Amino acid sequence: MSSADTPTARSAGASYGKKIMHDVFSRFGAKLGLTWIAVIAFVAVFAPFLANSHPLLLSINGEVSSPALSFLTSGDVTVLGVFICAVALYFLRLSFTKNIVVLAVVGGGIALLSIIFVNPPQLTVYEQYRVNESAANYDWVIRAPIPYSPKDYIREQGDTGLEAPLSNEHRSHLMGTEENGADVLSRMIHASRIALAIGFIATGIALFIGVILGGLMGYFSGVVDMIGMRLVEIFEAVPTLFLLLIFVAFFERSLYVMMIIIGVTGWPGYARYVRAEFLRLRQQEFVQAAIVCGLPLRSVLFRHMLPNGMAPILVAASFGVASAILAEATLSFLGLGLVDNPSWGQMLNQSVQSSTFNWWMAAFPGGAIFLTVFAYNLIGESMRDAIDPHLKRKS
Amino acid sequence: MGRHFSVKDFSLFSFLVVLMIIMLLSMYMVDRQWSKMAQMERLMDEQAKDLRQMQGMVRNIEKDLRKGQVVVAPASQNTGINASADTPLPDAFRRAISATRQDDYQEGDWYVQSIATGLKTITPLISQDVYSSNIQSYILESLLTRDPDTLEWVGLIAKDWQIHEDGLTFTFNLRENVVFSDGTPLKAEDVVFSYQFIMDERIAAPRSRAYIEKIESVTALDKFTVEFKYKEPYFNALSLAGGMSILAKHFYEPYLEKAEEFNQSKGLLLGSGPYRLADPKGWTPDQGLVEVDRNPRYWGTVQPSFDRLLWKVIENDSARLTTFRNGEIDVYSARPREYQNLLKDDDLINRTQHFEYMSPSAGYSYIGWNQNKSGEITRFADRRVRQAMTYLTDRQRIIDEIMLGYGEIAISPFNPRSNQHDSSLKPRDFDLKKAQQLLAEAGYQDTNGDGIIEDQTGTPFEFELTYFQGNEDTKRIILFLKDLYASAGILMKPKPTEWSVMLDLLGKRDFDAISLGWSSGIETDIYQMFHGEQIDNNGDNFIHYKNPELDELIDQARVTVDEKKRMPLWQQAENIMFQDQPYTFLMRRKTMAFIDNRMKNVAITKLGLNSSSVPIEWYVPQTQQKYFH
Amino acid sequence: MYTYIVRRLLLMIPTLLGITLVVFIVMASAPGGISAQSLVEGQNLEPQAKKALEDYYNKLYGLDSPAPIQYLRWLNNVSPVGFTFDEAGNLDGFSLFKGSDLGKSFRYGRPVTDLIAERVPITALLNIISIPIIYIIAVAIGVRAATQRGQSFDVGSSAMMLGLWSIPTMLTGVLLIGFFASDQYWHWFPTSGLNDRVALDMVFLPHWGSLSDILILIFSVLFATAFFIWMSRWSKPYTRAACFAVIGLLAGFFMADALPEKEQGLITYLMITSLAAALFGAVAYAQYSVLRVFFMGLVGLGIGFIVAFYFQEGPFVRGFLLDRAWHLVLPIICLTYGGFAFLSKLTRTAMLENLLSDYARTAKAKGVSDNDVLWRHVFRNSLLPLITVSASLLPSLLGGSVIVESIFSIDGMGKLAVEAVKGRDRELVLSITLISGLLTLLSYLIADLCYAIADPRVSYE
Repeated sequence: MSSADTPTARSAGASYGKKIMHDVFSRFGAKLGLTWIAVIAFVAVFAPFLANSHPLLLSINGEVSSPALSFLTSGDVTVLGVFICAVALYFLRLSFTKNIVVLAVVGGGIALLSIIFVNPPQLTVYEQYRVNESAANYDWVIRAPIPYSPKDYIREQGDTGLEAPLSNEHRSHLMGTEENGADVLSRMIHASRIALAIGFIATGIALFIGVILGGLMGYFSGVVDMIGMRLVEIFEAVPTLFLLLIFVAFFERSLYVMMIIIGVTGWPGYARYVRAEFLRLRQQEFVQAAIVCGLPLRSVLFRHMLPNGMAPILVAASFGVASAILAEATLSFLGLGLVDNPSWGQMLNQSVQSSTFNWWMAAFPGGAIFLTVFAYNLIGESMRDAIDPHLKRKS
Repeated sequence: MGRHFSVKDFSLFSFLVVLMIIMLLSMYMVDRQWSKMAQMERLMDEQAKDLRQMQGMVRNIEKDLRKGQVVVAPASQNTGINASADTPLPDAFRRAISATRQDDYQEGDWYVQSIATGLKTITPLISQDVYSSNIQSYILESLLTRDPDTLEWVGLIAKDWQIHEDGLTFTFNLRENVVFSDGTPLKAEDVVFSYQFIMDERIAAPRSRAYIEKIESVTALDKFTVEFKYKEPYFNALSLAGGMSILAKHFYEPYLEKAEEFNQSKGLLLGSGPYRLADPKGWTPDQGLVEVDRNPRYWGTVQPSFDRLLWKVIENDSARLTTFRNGEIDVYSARPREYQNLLKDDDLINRTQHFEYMSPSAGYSYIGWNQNKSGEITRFADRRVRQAMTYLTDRQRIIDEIMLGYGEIAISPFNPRSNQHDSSLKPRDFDLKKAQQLLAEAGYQDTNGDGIIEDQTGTPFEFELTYFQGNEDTKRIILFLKDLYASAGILMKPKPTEWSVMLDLLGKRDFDAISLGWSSGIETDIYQMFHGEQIDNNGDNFIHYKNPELDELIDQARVTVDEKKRMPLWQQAENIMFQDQPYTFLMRRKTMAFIDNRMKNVAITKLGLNSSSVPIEWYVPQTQQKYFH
Repeated sequence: MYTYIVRRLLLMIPTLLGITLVVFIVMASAPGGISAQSLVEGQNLEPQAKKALEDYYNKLYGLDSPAPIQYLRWLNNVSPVGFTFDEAGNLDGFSLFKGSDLGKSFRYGRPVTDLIAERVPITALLNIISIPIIYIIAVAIGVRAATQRGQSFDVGSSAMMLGLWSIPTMLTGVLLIGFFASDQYWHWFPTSGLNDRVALDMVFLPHWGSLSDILILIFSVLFATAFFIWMSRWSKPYTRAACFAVIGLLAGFFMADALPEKEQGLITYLMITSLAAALFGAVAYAQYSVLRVFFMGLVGLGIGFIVAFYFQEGPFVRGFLLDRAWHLVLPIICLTYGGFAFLSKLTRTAMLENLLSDYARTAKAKGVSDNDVLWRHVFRNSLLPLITVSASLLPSLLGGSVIVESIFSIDGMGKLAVEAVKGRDRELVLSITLISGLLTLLSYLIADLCYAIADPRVSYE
């Protein structure tokens, strides 16, 4: 807890941050949580290759083509690109801020390029692959492990609808099918993207606003503090779910709107933490020294004070991601979520919509939500246990 | 440390808490009893009033008897007592009377139904949905009603009626013993008032007004005789005059001055029917429930069997089924897949009776192709394109796979079992080649190889199909059609919309294609939907369809009163629509209903299931009655 | 102290203003905004009638003025101190006792105050019953976990609480209804609402047919409860566990038997009986006597009731009170589990901090009994974070009620809020925001006051 561990002293042995990270992830709970999140992240990134009706490779009369690749959207490409970049950076071991900057630049670049150059055909007829295969038009076909796309309603088989897992003789659906005939497992895989995206981006927005406002409040107390605290109180006192409902009901429903709204309603918690930390840190000598040296304000706030006060914020952030995922699921459940794309909450909603209780529609998406939230909570718990000085002492 | 919190303190504390809770509960209990007593007092007041009336009448009869005037004429002085031997039993009650003659007939019990959407209002003329009209049919009555077996008109409030030779004037003689539920007698002036009320521009009832406008005048010839005069011959004239709900003048007239209060009222409902609202002015939608109880002053020959009718608002589909399974509602209409699953449920089959039938008023669903959007002619103005879309819409597969066979293809707006329909017309089956041929003729081909066909100017064939997002089956059909059209190179983008937004888009004619449905009747009048005049003026021809030949046929048919001459005109109109395909007519759906076993006398008539017949034909035997009072 | 309270009450006003302003801005900036348009659309009227209705709404609700004026007018209506207007809408004067008028709901046509007054008691009922349950269970588990730090109870209960906290409320609601309130599995609880329709006409208290029925009831309940409590106090844990596991086996068997024909199968039977036996055995084996006695006593109570109902002869009228209680069981479960999971972890953390403190060690060294140290010293000091959290418990319960009320179709404030938002009912939305904001701020204030009472070091002078 030595506040002398400023970033500049990082070269001397393991820094405070790294020590804490090591502590956290040596605990069993955090390991479990991290494993699950890694699985979900992997699934989300490689979704187009894991669950797709378009075969990965196919050969007609000697010509080899890859429908899966040709139908990739710009979003898919961007996510893949960012993932590869992140893996590369892990091995390069740059500093934290440099990592973020490189990721952002590469991510933005790939996004721009893919929007311009990646244009998958707009019309998709999913049945053609199965029909052609049974008519033996292909030399050979390599399919994705789960050969169904989330919007493939299996038309050529006719009478499809809700089916329990593995109940159909002709096709195997590991988690059953939903109301229109689409495979549940494939929809869940593609829905994990939305869950993770909302979790991270919404919390990111909330963190961003909260840290800045909280930092300003903590650093300059007085008038700024009073106004800021009123703002915090206002946003805390509005029932979150209610405000979310109002936003979503009055504006149109799109993924970006939801992310921004969940972020905007979540910042007060972080602001409070940052404010408390900054109030405490303001009196420390290193901060006084930095001010006296004439360093600019943003440097004092974000390079000196913030890294020392990050600990409780990270804990709160972990719980915050969990609650963001829950908020999105709740909104979808109440019927105000996204319309077309699959999301876990919307699938949970389907389990109540139809008149018989279809347990697989409740168990699998519900289970996925539960496990993800549980994973984030475990990580948050472990972080809290690792950071809290009181609990370090053995009684 | 002075204060010790010991076990004694804890038990004292919990004892106090328990005491407080008991006091609160008993206060609540006393309050409940009080409101119940107030209710009973009100009922007793009403009964006392009725008793006094009867006493007065008996005294009058006594006086007349003593004076030697023997009262033979049955009409003037009885209220609600069975008609004497002179006047024949009203035909309208024939079926209800035969129900009461069954061995186990017993009055009593409740009939609980469910409503799938929240009700906005149940005030007559303002309400626009089918549930409110169902509720109103038990409270309001009209001059005539249709016999479910013969489909002929029989007199309800009207004793008999005469049609003059010119076919433009109808005279109705009203029964003299009809009273509204608050005791006020119903006279000819109420009929006249009903007409004037609808025609008053201040009342927001444009739909009803559009029909009633055909009547030139309604006059009261004397206290119990009314004359309807039409401007020109109209084939549905008797139905229009006889089917108008009679509103109580003394109740509704004050609202002519405060028209806006009436227009935005939620529950102003008073009538002469067998049931009444406990508070005719005070219903509000937040109760989530509509409850009507037996009208103690009902004039009819037969008193209704049920003590109370309830409609519960249950918006969630699965909650509705669960409520039915628990026995909390008595009727459930199932969707195709649900129906098949439920048929396999033995418990349910033992407890209920089920019916599947094609109701004659079952409407048809369709896809309307807008020919003129925002002043520009669209691609759907070309008849070949419309015919191609119909060839691409595989209606048989929709019925087989999504409706599981519980439906039939709709060829035209006319009921296939009526004489309006030309039975030689066969529906267009799914034919991809023919569709592609027609599209090629209209100038569409895939010029740039991206899978989507383009027209001569290079615009790709893509369009938005607007539909109501609340209906699951519609959504499945739309998703299915999307894939079907894709096989011909057409990109269809589904656009789910809220109901109010959709009505708005219809009003502004702002859509490419829209999926909706119309209800039919015994004889369907297609003027509103397909006549050229109805494109503007807020008419329902929102697809901008105009065919002068069809217009002429429609105009002619509407003024032809002779049925034999009218039907061939309708059939010719049907042929034209078959060629033009202004809509792609989708299908008519069967109704599949489950009804609790304790309901007796359930039957299918020419009008469909007799579940909503008024007078009521169902009853529950004494031993099976579930609810009391 | 009083100046502090007054100051806090006064500071609430700008916060409330801010909340309503935020909500109003959101509504006004939505596409379509707040205008008579959105009320009149979708009614398929002819142009003149539409115009007439629009004018009427404009006059009634003042919807044609620009948004800031609408907001100020609404503020004026709501505040008890403000300008008064006469019939024609002209300024009449300024009054200090105007009283607040929350307006009329667009959708329901009734005054908002009436609607809210009808719905608040229901939500309040749910929450008032939940809060004590949450606290009692949380304290029971948290204190034990803290004193048994690192041992099986602590680790097990921590993991379970975290797991419980992670389950979304709607999933629980869906599963509970799907399994326990539907015909397909067990139909032990009602599906929706707060009362059956028939119960509204029933008497308040339950009525038994004959005196012997009441005697059977009292006798069997007392006997069974006493028996199981005695069993829970046996000293040998294995015998306890074995006996109770057998009871669990029987209970599981009966439960599996109660399933409808379709679902019964060998696997279901085995699964349920073994789960029940394991659960009962584990509870009986536990060292934590409070939990053990309570659970086994509860089982005894249940068995007593079931036996009594099985043997009763006369008619039994459920009564309004019991009917309401029966309807409340599932919603309360959904509301409380998240609360007590979170709170128990908090209690544990707070207790741990205080257990390691100097004064606790001193007291123990002084010779104060373990129990006294725990409850009289350590627990009282750990109450503080609990109280602070309780301030945010009420708002989160109100939010949780939204989901629970939607799933269980209970007509409370939460459901009203959802419907108001979906129907874009301006008056209703603003009023509900105001009231929930007021309740939240009040609960913060009460929490701070309790804090001051509990901790003599804290003073607000």
